[in-house]
Amino acid sequence: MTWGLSKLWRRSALLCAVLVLVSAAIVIWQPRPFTAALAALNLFCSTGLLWLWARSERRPAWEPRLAHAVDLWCSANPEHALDDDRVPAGVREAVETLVGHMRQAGGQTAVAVAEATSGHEQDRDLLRGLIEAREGALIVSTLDGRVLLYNASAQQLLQEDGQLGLGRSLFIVFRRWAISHFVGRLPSDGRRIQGVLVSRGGTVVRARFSRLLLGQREGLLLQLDSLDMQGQQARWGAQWLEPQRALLANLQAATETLRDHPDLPVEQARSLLEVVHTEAAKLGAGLAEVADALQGQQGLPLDDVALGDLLRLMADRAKLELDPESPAGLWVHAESASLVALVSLACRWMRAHQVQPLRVQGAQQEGHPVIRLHWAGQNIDAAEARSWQHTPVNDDGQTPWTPEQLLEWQGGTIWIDTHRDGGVIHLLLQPAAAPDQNLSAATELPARPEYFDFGLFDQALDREQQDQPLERLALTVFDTETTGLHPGQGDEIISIGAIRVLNGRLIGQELFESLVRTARPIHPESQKIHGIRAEMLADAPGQADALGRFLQFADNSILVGHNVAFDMRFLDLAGKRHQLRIPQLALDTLLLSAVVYPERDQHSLEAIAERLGVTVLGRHTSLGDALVTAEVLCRLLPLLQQKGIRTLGEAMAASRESWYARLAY
Amino acid sequence: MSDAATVLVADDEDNILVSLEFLLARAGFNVLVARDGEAALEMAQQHHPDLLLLDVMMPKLDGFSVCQALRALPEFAHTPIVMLTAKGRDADRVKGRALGATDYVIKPFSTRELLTRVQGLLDQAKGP
Repeated sequence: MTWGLSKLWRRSALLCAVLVLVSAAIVIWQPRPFTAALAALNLFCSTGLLWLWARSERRPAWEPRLAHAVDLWCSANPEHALDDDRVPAGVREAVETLVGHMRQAGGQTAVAVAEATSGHEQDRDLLRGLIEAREGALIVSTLDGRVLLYNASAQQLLQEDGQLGLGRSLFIVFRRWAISHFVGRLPSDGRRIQGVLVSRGGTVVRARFSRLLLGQREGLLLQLDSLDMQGQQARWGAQWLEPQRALLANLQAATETLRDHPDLPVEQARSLLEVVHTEAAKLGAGLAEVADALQGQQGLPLDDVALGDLLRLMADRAKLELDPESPAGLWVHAESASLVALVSLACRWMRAHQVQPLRVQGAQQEGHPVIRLHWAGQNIDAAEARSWQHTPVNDDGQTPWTPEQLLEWQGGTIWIDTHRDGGVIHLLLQPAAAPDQNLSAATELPARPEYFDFGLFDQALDREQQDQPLERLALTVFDTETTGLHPGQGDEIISIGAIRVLNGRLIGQELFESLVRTARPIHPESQKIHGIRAEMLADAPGQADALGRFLQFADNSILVGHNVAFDMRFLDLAGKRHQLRIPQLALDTLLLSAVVYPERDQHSLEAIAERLGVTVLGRHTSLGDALVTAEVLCRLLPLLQQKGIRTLGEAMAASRESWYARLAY
Repeated sequence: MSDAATVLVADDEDNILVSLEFLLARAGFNVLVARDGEAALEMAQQHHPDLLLLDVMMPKLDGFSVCQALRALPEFAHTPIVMLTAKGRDADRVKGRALGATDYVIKPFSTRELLTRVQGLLDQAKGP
């Protein structure tokens, strides 16, 4: 009962009580019978009402017991027994039915929740188990550096830093730029990269980075090992010292005999000299062997890095100009982070001496890649340059080694030229073992020509397709690499990569990548771009097989590509040759970008990616390009909506218009 | 001073100087000996040798730096400079050449071969 109603009741009761008293007084003192009779009637009614009130206000004795029982059923103890037979049977039955239903519903919810979370829990337990079991130090984080898991070894390794914690940022332990440096270099194909990290507490570690799929999201797996260069060098020393000592003993015995016995017969003297000569030769040969072994055992963790990428990272970090003359396609075998840091420190050293760091430049010298850092200004002389080379660079999270050691331990060397108006730091590096197996550096290569196909717009969309909202479309974003630029003259697809996009999001698990065999020679210019050589295709599936599998992957979705007409033309011709049904409808991110940014004329994939803040990784591999295109697409979709383009039909119409506009341009 | 060519040998290892000094003198050269980089630089500027044999790892100033400093002087633009060094890696050889060394000989070496090279470089420098 509500508070208002009970208050009303109480007031009425009070009124009745007053009426009873007044009526009683009138009955007693009023001589007139009519008035007395009226008062008596009033007294009767009011007393009746008062009795009714008293009855209504009284709560049944079992009510608190029932309330308590319901409370228990709902919260702590569903099995609680209500043993109060004063509760009316009807009430008890109703309440028990209600609680029964509730219990059932609760049980179903619990099962559903358990089912939904158990997969996730299992994954996490598995991951945790793997990480705990491994001896090395492991950290799992999100790509933006939030720590999700780590093991005891990681904690031990970084104990000087003491701040490794779940949910905390990795950047508390390592410097942000250094982590970003490696994350930025992570290839999309899951390959691992490695390098040196220095924690804020000064711990130097060898770090291996790889991508990790955490449910729908990508994470970072960091494997760390302590890096003790001096110790490593010492171990090697011990390994080669022992055999050489024996040779030295022979040498010493022979020479001392010669020295101490000038009266030695000539014959004997000669044979001792022969011993000296042969043992010295053996010593030399042994040393050469050790040198070879050491060469393959460079202590620093080295990786193959495109020289162009490395130069760009250096220029970005040190805010330097990048020399456009740097040669394309060179790869180095080096530890990239320490080199980037070194260049940045060199610039700081220059500024401290009031000379101006000018530009960083790549070159090749007697088969070795060289990075040259130029400065202008007179304040650094040869002596100062020499002393810098031999000073450890251990501030700002850099390695505690001298520039000279840093280069030597990665098989390179450093020297500095000074002249009247400036100077050059030369960093000579090891070339990557087989540079032609690597894909060439991205930026130095010319882009494909823009390619249009009028036919792509001629496809009549049926009503249903027309009205499909863009953000709910199932899309397959793809890219191809080809033998050359002329499909009409027989060029063919040699690699195809794709990813599915659903509801405006990349479906990370749904990737497709295949090389495609061809009888057609690969044009050298194209090979320079994608790095695929004929022998790499020897075991690849043939055109019909590979493209058939791609079409299966793309089934029930709309194809999307960048400058897609180019790829569609290749697909179309292959479809005709091999009786494959090629979808005739495709969206083009180049044209969609032109719709969103009609005022810009740069719509190359790099330009759009940069405009939309998409990190460009793995360019010029079909899957790498498909991934970049897909990310670009996902960022274009909301922008198209803002322009009022919401359906597939509207997007096709807008693309057609921007295509005409580009033709006119 | 006679017509014989002058060779400056710079090395901090007395034990190799014993042989080199003797062999070069026996081959008919005037021999100058320096035991560290700074001394080598000074003696070179004082005596203008026809050829220099420079060890890389020397006290005070290393052989690379001596070579670099001499090449910056116009009078040493064409003097043959041979680096004698235990630094056997290819990267060091490239560095030596980049700094102006004419030849780069890795220790250990055969003394006969070294003498042949020295003679050859001197003949070349004299020109036809």
